[in-house]
Amino acid sequence: MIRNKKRVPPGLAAGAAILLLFLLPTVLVPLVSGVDPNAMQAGAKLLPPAAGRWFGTDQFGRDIFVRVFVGAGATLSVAAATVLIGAFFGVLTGAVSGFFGGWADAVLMRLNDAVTAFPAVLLALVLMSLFSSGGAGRLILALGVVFIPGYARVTRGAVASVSARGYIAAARSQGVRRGRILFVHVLPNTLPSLLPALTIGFNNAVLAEAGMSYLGVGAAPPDASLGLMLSEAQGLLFSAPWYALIVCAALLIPVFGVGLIGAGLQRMGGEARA
Amino acid sequence: MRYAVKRVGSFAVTMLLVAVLTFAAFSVVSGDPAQRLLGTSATPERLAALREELGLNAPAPERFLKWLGGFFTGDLGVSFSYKQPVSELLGSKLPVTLTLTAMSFLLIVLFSFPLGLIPSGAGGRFIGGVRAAFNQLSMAAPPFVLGVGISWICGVVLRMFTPGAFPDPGTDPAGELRYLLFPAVSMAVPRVAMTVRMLRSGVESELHKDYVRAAAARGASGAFILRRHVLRNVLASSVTFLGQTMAEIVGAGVVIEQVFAVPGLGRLLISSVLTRDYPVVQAAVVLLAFWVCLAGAAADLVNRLADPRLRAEHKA
Amino acid sequence: MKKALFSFVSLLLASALLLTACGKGKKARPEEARRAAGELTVGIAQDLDESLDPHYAVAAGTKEIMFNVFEGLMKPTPSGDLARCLASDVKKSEDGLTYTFTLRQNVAFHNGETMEAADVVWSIDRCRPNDGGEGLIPALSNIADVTGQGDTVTVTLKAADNDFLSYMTLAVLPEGYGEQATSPVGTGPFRFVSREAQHEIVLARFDDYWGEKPALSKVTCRVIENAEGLLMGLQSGALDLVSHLGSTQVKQLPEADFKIEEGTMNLVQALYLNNAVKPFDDIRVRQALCYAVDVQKLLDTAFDGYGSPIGSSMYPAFAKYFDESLTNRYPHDPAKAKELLAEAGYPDGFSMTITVPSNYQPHVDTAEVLADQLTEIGVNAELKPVEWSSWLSDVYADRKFESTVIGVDASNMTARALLERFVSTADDNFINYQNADYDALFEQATAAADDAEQTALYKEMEKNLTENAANVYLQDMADLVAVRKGVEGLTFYPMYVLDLSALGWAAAE
Repeated sequence: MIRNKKRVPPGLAAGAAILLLFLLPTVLVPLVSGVDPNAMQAGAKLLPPAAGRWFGTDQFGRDIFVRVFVGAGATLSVAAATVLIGAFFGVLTGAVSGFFGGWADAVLMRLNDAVTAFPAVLLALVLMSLFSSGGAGRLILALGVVFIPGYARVTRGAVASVSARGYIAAARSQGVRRGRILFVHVLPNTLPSLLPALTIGFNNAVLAEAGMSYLGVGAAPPDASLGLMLSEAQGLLFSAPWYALIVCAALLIPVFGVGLIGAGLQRMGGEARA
Repeated sequence: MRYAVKRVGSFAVTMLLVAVLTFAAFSVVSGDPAQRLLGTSATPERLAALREELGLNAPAPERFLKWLGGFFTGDLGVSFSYKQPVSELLGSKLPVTLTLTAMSFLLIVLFSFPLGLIPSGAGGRFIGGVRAAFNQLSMAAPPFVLGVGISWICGVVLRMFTPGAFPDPGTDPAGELRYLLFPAVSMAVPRVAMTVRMLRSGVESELHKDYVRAAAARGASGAFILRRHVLRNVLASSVTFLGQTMAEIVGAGVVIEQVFAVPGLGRLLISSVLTRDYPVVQAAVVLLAFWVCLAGAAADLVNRLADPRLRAEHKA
Repeated sequence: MKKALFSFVSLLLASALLLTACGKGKKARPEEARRAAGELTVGIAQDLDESLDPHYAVAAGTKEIMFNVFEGLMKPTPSGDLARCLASDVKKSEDGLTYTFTLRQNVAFHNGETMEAADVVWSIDRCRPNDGGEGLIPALSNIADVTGQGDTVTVTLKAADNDFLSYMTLAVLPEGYGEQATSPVGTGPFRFVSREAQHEIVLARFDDYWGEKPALSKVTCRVIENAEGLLMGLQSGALDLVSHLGSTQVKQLPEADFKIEEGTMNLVQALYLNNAVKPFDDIRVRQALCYAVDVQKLLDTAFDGYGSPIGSSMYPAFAKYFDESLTNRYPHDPAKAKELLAEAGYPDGFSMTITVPSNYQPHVDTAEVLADQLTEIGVNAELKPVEWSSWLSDVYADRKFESTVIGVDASNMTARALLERFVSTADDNFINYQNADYDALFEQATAAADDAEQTALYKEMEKNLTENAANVYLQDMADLVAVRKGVEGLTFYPMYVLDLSALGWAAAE
């Protein structure tokens, strides 16, 4: 069998393109528009899209076009930071647990189970009220903790299966330090199964931010965030349907892009293994 | 046998940890149940009296042990807010939530397996691409947005059900089921998409494995290979995934019950957290956690029964 | 391959069929069935999350509904006066210390017992702070003695009190009945039927009611926490009436099916300032904020123009005490505001936080608009949404806050309740208002010989609050009620109640 040359799957390229096309205005619009996303206009409430206000205005007469991109920036940063925090601690616990086994594994996994079984919404609510100050920071921390167990479980499985491979046993028998084996030989080889988990995690983090705002414990108004805007838009479905549609689209596009990238990575990983 | 003992043991430890976590969370969270109950008309005297009455003055470890003792004797305490025994309160909410979860789980299994096991090439590249895109989109849809959308379209526009008019629990089982179908669908859609994706990538990676190639080389038909070899292996890994999905729909249900005004456990949980009704929260969390752990254990068990390798490992 | 595609498509079809099949069965629309049976379903945004015992119940939302189940010797009227209710006659002694109530005859409790003087005495004793009672209502500590005999009840006071009769709206309960918390019994036009936590409260017409019997046979109060859910419930036919909606919400309801009635919330909504913390301990800073805020623009931006501006801790429904002139004490004047800030040592403004209860959207919206308006004078206000439980503990009880947007009500329908809280030593003086003149005025007002003198003193107190810019007073919010066409008789009170006994369906055309 001829080994496939590592080819970038079309999904991956498309996903990257979509994501880039979305990130560009997210970064640029707040910089160049010169419109204050929080400036209110009593006389211009809930106006439909038109020239000069491409996405219309919200219930306080704020410009939705600018707010949507500012909000997307906030939401995506929260999601990315959440994934990073969750993945960092998750991978760490999962690796220790899967590689060393024994009582460390037993303790960590029980703790993991307990956090998983604890309703995520409640966990986030509790953490949010614990850290009563510091807007986005506490949201990231709260959601990050919720995401740890998922990554820990995936990592643990992957580490265990990589550790069972012959070359690891060989390295062990040659007396290579265990820490070195874990970080140099094992962890890099778990990447193919971790990457898709990361992208799905991003998806879930964006949704979680939105869900928290829906429950009224997410981002603090008046600062824009997609979750907050979505829960506002939802209450205005009949008087300003475009508002909900636009925010939904802004939420779906980057998640869609990242999802495609994830699927592509998974496929690449699969081919590489074959 | 040893496995069973170990499993039950870890189950118990997990549950205990959950209970401790819940209790610990509330001893650090701001907001005083007595203050909440008395609102803005609280006087210092009444506050003190009510704290005493609710047993809030005892140190936290003592309260926890008391709760644990009550738990084992079947006494879950009395709700601060409703002045009703907690077991009674939860008992009236549990059937609704269990039905909702079960319905949504059933929908997930019913739809994701046929969709996920159709080879991804089916229908040509274009349809395959559309399907993948559609899948990706449904995965990205926040359940509560889906819920509101379904309520508007099916409830207000098409009048297929009456959002906000959940039948009084226990009086109209058929009506309850019909009402619950809509929240169940909103919970299922994103999970169907995820399960489909998981199945498809499972099938694909199996198809690349050597034994499949070998079988194909021996001249076995594609359908035979799929049925005989691939499915078995994919199903084993998907059982674990479904166990996890079960845990996730319990979480999603908390929000969906709110959107559809379903009087279930999740909604009670949220409102009890907000009103600091500790006895209810404590019991509800343990109950939900039990359900989640049970799903995990069931998945484990099924896997063990289906996979001879795992059984052999433990006999050795 | 074709087979696979076929099965995919047929699955989609099957799912669509399944969904529509469930919707078949053309039954009468739910609202029409209710109309025929004389029933009504009301949507409420918060569960009555506490004991239903009226002496313990304190939440406004609970009183709003249970108003229909319980009655006192006196009852409030829509115009804000007091009418005789379970007392058919009241006599006040010359010195104002003794009140003699003649009880109405043949008044039945919902459990079949007949109301007697002993029940009245028991109910009052239960609430007043004395040896035997639980001290549920501190204001009743003024009562020296309560006695009942035959059909009269005599109450003796320690000191004369012009507001005393308003406390006698206190619910009369059957003596010794032990299940008020879960299965309440009163004498009102509706009796309690059942309750399902987080779902509904059911009331039914009390057929042995002593007065005019209500038109509705059954009222269900359905709990739906989210605003979209309430709107959806109205349009789907699940609900007939929802109070306290926002202006953007009512605009979305089809005019053909619903009418919108406008009342007042009877709340003093303000940006309450913690007078004990910097920089709000400086009167110039507080006044600067008052000048910086444009109340009319706030109403236009966040409330579509609904709501009445106010200038002190009194709302217009208390017509006797309300002083219109205070409303315009601080016209919108950013230049003046900046000047005051500079004098106070903040020429470049400052940063502050506004704590808001996250579940009360109107207050969150208000804070959002205020933050926007304050940027004009260089003040950077950051919002801090907190849960209601945290608000009560941290802001209200512990007074750990800088500023907060909230609506304060008159808990027992007296003007005094609105003003008493700002006395330096009051337990509920959560803004830490310390003003010797104000305390002195209050002393004089409670000791006032007659009503006219007391009223004048109350007005002085209001003026004191305004002049010292104790808070940035905003408005008494509008209470928008969506009512299904065909439902008639909605009456507004100067308090937070929903009078179900006046409601009914119009005769079908």
